[in-house]
Amino acid sequence: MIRRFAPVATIIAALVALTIVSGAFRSSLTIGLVGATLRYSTPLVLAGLGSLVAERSGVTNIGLEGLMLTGAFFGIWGADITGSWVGGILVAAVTGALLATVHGIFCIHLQANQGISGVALTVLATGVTSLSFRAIYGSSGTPTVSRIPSISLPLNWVPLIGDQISKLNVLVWAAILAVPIVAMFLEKTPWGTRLSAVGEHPQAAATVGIPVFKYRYSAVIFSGVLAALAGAYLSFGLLGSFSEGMSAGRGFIALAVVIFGGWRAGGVLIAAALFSFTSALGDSLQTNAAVSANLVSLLPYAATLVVLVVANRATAAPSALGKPFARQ
Amino acid sequence: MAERRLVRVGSALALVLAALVVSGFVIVATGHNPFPAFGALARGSGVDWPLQWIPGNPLGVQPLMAKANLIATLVQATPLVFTGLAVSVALQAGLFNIGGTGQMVVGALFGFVITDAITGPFGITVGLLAGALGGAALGAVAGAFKGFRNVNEVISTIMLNYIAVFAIRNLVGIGGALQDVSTAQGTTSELNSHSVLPVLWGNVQGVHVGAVLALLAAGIYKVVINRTPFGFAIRAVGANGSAASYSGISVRRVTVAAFAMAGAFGGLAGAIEIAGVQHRVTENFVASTQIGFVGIAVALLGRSTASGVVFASLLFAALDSGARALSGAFPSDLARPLATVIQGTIILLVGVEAILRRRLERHRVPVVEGAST
Repeated sequence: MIRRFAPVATIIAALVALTIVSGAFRSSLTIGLVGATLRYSTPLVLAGLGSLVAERSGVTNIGLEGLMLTGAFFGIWGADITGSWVGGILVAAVTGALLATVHGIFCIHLQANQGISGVALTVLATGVTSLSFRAIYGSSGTPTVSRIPSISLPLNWVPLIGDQISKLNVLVWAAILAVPIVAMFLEKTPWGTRLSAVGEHPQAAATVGIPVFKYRYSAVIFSGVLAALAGAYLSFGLLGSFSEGMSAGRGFIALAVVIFGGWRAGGVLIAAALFSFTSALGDSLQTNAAVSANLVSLLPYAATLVVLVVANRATAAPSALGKPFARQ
Repeated sequence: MAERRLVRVGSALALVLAALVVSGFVIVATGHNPFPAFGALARGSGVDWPLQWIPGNPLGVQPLMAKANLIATLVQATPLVFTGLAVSVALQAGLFNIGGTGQMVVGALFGFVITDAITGPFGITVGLLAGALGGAALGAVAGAFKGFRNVNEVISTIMLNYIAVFAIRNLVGIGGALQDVSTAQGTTSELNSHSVLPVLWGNVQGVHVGAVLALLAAGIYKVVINRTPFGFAIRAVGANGSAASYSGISVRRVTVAAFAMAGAFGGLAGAIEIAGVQHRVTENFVASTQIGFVGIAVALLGRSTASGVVFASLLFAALDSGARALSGAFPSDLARPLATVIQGTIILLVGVEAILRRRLERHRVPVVEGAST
């Protein structure tokens, strides 16, 4: 029982601490940390949850970075040609699903090395998005498009952080809501149980009649859609423009988030919040304490590494992770 | 054996051809004709240089232009051999080293600092060794994390790449400890002319001694992997970790050592690129170099064999230097990403090709001893 409540308790403790710090001191160093942490967390939570589902089914998707770039570029392109952010989101989701299907065909049907396929996906997506960006928009960059809107909620009454959480992007809320939904799906529904069975012991799952390939394809495509949405958030949610290689390693951090999160949805949220808090604190240090921009940029990667080394979570991984399943 | 090698070479060629067909479609999608584009790509890489000696020069090769292009290709191929070997060593041990970039920039920095301090031929030699050591140290970190804490090496090497790149940018960037303040740019000072690798063919940016060192490194790699107990241990761990462990090989130690050797190759790539071509470490080079990343495609296409890595390096260097020469047939600003698309396609196809070969071998009738030629 303690294990189950530990993540929740950690979140609450972290939020309380954060609230006290950001509010009580009211120093320029801590103002806006909660909002910045949420903004940094969103792409990590979205891509991380997708990756979590794929890994639970036994397929590693190292290509998250490429899927994010795909969603970032084709999302903003979709918003440009359809004139609506909804159209952009749809285009991002469809292209993410298509690219993930390629990964699925290689890793599931053809039993290719999942690492090689994932790296190929990232290289390919980097090339295709840069090529398309230069061919379509050239040196003038992406035009002003319909942005993913923010929603205002009457949360100003919340002490200390009310002003930071009352107006947030749709996808920030979507990412937060997705955590309990994915957790419920994985832990409480028969589909979730079967998905885990496929990831733990595909032979046994197949013996009792679970369609292993179908579950794995669905999981990989789901991870593609979510990673693409994470990219869409970066390009026409947060920034309003696309730049080449803009995901800047976030896809890989999302992979680390799943490991550190112990392959659980709540864990993904905690891990993402931790890394994002590091980033947000770094930004604040840069503006307020004149710490070099390069050293600040280094922080989240160093934190990821330290956490991975200290956490040593590999034993919580699905047993059949990364292993192809040969259908008889 | 000879037959198997032939199959290997043939399938690598088929793979490159398939990747070119795919990229042909990409070129069509951007609204250009792929055939003149490929022609310009080939000419830009300088592969037509020997054709000038066909009597009467029927292809109209411009000797000077072709020579300059070929030199550019060879210069670019040199560091790729090292980063390709950096990935290959790890692949032999069943490990995926994505850390070429980090190992390379650390090697570049160490090599520069030592060479700049000592100067002269001795300084270059010690500098290259320092570069190899720096890369090896960074590689060993990833190996130790994998061996002792079971941290996925793909993620740890990528994180180490970012950490190394940002740390070194901080050193050589504006206001950094190693920045040359007289330039007001993010760069170190320049190595003096006695402390750079001698050029063997061409002028200032010509083919330098590093090209010979690259061939030497490929030879050393081949001997170590195929003919030494250490190489055997690496291959044993790569083939089956638990079996290797039962036979008394320390998987942890081999993991760390293999990653250190991989890092040494990566570090040499950086040190040689600085001593042979760049002559200074700029923030821009550290931030944007693709040499480490292309090494992955080089190793995969070259099947982690010494000769395969050398040829794959030449191919990718030719693609890159050819891409820079594109102008009329295909917009030059699209050429670089096109080269990336071709690389990605090749990596993807390498994955498939391995599967096809495995299936083919499963269905092949075993050859009876003595019955075959």
